[in-house]
Amino acid sequence: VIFLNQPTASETREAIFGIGGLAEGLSPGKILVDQSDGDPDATRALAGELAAKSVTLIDAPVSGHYGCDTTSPETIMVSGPADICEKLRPVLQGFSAKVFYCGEIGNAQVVHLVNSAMSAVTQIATLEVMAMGKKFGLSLETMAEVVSLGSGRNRTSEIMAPRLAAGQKTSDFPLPRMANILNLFMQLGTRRGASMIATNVGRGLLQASAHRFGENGDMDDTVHLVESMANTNLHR
Amino acid sequence: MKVGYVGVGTMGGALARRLMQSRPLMVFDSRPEIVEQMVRDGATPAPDAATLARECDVIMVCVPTSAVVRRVIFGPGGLADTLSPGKIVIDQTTGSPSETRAIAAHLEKLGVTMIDAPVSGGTRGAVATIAIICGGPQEAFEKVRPILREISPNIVYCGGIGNGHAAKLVQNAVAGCNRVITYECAAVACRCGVTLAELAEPIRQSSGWNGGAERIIPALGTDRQTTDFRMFLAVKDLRLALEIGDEVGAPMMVANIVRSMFQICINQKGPTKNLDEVAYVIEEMSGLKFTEHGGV
Repeated sequence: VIFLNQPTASETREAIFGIGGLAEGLSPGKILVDQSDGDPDATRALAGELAAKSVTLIDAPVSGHYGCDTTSPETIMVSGPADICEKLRPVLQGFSAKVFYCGEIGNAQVVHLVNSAMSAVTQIATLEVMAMGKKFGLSLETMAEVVSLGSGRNRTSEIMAPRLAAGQKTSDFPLPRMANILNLFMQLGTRRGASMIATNVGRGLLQASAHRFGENGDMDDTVHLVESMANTNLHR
Repeated sequence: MKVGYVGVGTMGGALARRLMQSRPLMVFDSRPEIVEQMVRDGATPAPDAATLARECDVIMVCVPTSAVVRRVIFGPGGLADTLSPGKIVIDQTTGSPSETRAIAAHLEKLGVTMIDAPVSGGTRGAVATIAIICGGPQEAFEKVRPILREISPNIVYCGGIGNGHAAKLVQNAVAGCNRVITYECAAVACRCGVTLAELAEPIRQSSGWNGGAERIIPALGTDRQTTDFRMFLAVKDLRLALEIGDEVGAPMMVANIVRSMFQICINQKGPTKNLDEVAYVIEEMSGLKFTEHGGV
């Protein structure tokens, strides 16, 4: 069983089929586990080529925490042939107790992209609305409390906003990685003919944050972007 | 017909001066120093709006918003105090169609007709060929058309009262969208290594051509000014266009994103900055400087 985590789909391909790559030493029955933020269509194509060599590819990406406690388990989504995924479950549970089987190969990467996009776009939308409330004179604490009781409730209102109000960090998820995930998701959505309007606006703002806060930026920096765009301060 | 002009600031002043080349003009503005300048150039001052309305048959108005138009007409000492049946009010403000219709309905009760005649294209300085976009009852419009012609021969009649404003706001919204999409796509080209000089000509000759791209792409590389329009006014116009969208149930998604970009520019750079500053917002979002991508 070989685990892979590459920055891009083409680097995953290179690691397997490039000169001196894994394929040169792969024998029938071996299993590759792709943990990259991958492109589901590329992963499916790879799985097909590897199946011709009787090698199984499964994808098992890892999503960020719902909470802000970095010791809490992350979520692993896994997809590929069901029997192989079941066989690997104990190994994956070594990373996290939360392992979800998602079906055919590539599905886990899709679920990972959907989850990340939902988290990031919701975060920016929620911060934007809260910035409006702040300009109106509401405190972040009040908004966090009330929104979290109602239908607007989400991770940003429930966990991020109270921590922001208390001056604490809420995320160390790298901003460039999230921008990359959103780009992958937009590419997938565009290929499959989904409208993706709201997601695309969120993607643009994440890309702008990535330019502004650079390599070491994390998802907390989106707060600074929203503050600057709205000319207000969410912290105080 | 005696003509008067109320609100002779930047735009109204330029339009009034054009008229003064062919006829005597009475003017009123709440800022005395602006009136003084107009008088030095040959205008007759009115002590208040009501006096101007009594003396003139056609009263032209160009003020910041439709709310101010309402105040100028119906406020204390306003035009309505002395407006008599048969007179015509021409509103050259960039205003709200629905608000203007409400004002017109009110004036109708006094036997006074309202024409909306906002202008477009004046921010580039060419008042003599400025587009005058009109709405209102056709008969009254035909009566004042010769006066409007003294400003510019470029007159478009769009139908009932408020339609001039609506058409002008739609034109401004298209211009705003042209501008932002031009910046956004130019940023992609620059990040790919295509210079702005290389980009300008193919766009000018192809289907991507638009009035914004034509002026903006050649100017971006050297940070040259392309317009003289302050940010808060640009946002005001877009907001009015979006309000129309709201009223009539049009989605206006793209224009709303453009409004957000303009609002971000105001928040980051300041409300009185020139509309060209939106380029800085987009280059920051794109992680580049257009002036480093000018080419020859």
